[in-house]
Amino acid sequence: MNNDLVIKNLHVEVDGQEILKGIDLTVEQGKIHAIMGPNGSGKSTLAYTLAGHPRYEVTEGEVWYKGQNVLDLEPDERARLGLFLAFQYPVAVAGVSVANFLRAAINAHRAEEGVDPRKTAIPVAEFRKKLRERLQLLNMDESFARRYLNEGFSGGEKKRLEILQMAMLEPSMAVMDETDSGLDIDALRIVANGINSIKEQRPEMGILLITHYQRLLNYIKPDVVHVLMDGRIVREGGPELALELEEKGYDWIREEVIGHAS
Amino acid sequence: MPANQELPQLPAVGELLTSGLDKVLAGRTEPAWLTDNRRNAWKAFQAMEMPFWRRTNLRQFSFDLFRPTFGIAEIRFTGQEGVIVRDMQSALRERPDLMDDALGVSLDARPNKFTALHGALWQDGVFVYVPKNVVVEEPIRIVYRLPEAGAAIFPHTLVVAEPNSSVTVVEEFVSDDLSDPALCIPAADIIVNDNAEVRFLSVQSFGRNAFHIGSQFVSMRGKDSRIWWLTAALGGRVQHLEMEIYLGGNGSHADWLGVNYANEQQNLVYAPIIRHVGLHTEGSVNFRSVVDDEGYAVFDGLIKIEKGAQGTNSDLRDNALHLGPKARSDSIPGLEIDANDVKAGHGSTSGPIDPEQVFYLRSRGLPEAEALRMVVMGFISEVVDQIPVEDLHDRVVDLIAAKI
Ligand SMILES: Nc1ncnc2c1ncn2[C@@H]1O[C@H](COP(=O)(O)OP(=O)(O)OP(=O)(O)O)[C@@H](O)[C@H]1O
Ligand SMILES: [Mg+2]
Repeated sequence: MNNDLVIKNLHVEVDGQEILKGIDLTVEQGKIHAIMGPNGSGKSTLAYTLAGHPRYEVTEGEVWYKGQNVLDLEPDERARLGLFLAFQYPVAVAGVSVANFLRAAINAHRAEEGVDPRKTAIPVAEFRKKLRERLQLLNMDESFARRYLNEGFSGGEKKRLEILQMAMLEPSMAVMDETDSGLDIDALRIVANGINSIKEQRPEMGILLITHYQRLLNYIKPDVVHVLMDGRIVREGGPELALELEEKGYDWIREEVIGHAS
Repeated sequence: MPANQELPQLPAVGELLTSGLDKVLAGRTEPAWLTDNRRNAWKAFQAMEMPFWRRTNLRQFSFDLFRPTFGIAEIRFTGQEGVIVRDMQSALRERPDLMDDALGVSLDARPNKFTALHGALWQDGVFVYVPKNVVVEEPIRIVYRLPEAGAAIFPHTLVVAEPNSSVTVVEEFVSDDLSDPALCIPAADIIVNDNAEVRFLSVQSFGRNAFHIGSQFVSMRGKDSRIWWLTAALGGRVQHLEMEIYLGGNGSHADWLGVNYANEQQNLVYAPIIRHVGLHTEGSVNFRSVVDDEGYAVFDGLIKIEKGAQGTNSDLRDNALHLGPKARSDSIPGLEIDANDVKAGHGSTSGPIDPEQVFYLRSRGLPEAEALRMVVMGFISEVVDQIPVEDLHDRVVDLIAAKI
C-alpha cells in the first residue's frame, strides 16, 4: 500500500479569508520533509487543516492518506489512521493527567468496532513500562506523567510533552509545527535526538517538520525542503535550500516569485 | 436494608395537620426537652409560610401528600474503643447528656418551614461521638435511603469531635428513580472542639423526583479546629441546602469543596455561608458546577466576617461549566466584612466547554464523546479527586460519567 501523504491543490479559508491558495505536496512514507516560510505564510494553517480543526474550511482540493480521503474524516479518525500533529501552541486541559490521557488515547487507537474495550485496552503494566521508557528517552521526570495536561507547563515543557505523546502513540505520519521554538539549546538536542530515535525504530514513519530555523535541521536531516509563502509552495529543494534561507532570508525568493521584494 | 421492606410510616402531613402531633409523640419515649422542641417546631411549621427562594423551584411542591417514613438509615463502621456511632433513638436513650447542647444547631441557623417540619418529626439519624485524643482511621459510613415515591424522610447526622480527635464521616443520600415526588429533609450538626479535625462528606445521588431540602451546620467552636467538607449534588429533582461553617474558635480552619451537576430538569441549589468570628480563622470555599440539558445549578455563597474577626483569611469561588445551550447556572458569591484586618477574595466564572480543548484531545484519537467527558471530568477533578474513600470516589466518578 502507498502510505504517502498526498495533498492536492488545497485551498483553505479562515473566517472567509483564503489562507492556503492551492498547496500541492507529497510527504513520502519514511521521508522527512521540512516546510519553511515567513510568519503568517500559512504553515500552521496547513497543519491544523491536516488535523481537521473545524475553524479551517477547505474550499478546494484533496488530501489522501492510506487510501482514504482525509478531509472526509473526523479529527479523531485521522489520528487513528496514523496522522499526528505536534501543535505549535499545545492546549492545557486542567484536571486531566498526562498519564490518564495517554492511556485513554492509546486505548482509543487500539479499540476495535464491536469488541469490548476492556479486551483491547493496553495492560496497565505494559503501559507504565512504555511510559517510563519514553519519558527517559526525552529526559523527562516521571512526575510529568502525574501533572495535568500542559497546565502550568513552560513553553519548552509543552513541546517535550508533544513529542512524548508522539512517542507513545507511534503515528505513521507526524506533522510537527515549530516543535523547536521555545526549546533551549540542550532541550533542542534532547528532543531532536528523541525524534531521531523514534524515527530509527520506525523507519517507515513520514515526518513533516515545520520550522523557522536551520538548527533543528542540523539534528534532523530533511530529505526535502519546501518553502511556503503567501499560501503557496514556491520553492522545493534539498537540505541545502534551508541553509540558503538561513543565510539570505526570504526576500530573494519573494523577488523571484512575485517579482519584487516586500 | 432491602428497599421493599415495610417501614414504619405516619399519615400524610396534610392529615397530621388535622389530627395533631400529640398521638405521634405519645408513642415515643425521649427526653422531655426534645419533646418540647418538637411541639415548638410543629407550631412553627404550621405558622410559617412556604419559604420564597428565588432560585429554587417549589412551584408544584406541597407538603400535604408526603407520608413521614422511618427506619431509613444504615451505618457501616467496625467500631473503635470509646467511639460512639449509634442510631439516634438508641443514642438518645443512652447518652442524651452528650447530645443536648449540640443537637439541632442546624435547625436554628436559618429556620424555615422545612427545618421546622424536620424538628417536629425527625427520628432517624446517626450520632457520632469521638472522645478526646482519639483518632478514628476508618471512615464512618452512613447511607440514607428514600424508599419510595410519596415518602418523606428526616435524616439527622450529629457529630461531636472532642479536643484533639480526628474523624471522617460520610453520608450518602440514595434512592431509585421515583415515579412521583418524594421528600428528604436532612439536617447535620457537626461540632468540632479544640484542635480536633473532622472530614465530612455528604453525597446526594437520589434518583429522579426526589426533593432534598435541608440544613447543615458545622460549629468550629474549638480553638485551632479543622473542618474539611466535601459536598456533592448529583441527583434528585430539586435540592436546596442551606449550609454554614461557623468559625468561632481562634485559629480554626475550613476547607470546603463542592460539586454540583444539574442536567435534565434538575434544579440544584447550594447556599453556603462561611462565618468568621474568632481571631485568625481561615476559610477556603471552592465549588464546581456543571449544567446540561435544562439543568439549573445555583451557588449562592457568602463569606461573612463578623466584627472582631481580625486576621481572617478567606476565599470563596464557584466555577461553572455549561454543556447545553438551555442549561443555566447562577453564581452569587457574596462578601460581608465587618472587621478591618482581613484578607478576603471571592469570584466565579462560567462558560461553555472550550472547543480547543476538545479538538486537542480528539487530535490524539479520542472520539468526540470521550474527549468531552474527559474535559468535564477534568473540570471537576480538582474537587472529586480529593475524595479520600476509594469506593466512594469511584462511585461519584461513575455517577458523573453517566450524566455526561
Ligand atoms: N483563527 C484565525 N483567525 C484569523 N486569522 C487567522 C486565523 N488563523 C490563521 N489566520 C491568519 O492566517 C495567516 C496564516 O497563519 P498561520 O498561523 O498559518 O501562519 P504560520 O505560517 O504558521 O505563521 P508563524 O510562522 O507565525 O507560526 C495569518 O495571516 C493569520 O493571521
Ligand atoms: Mg505557525
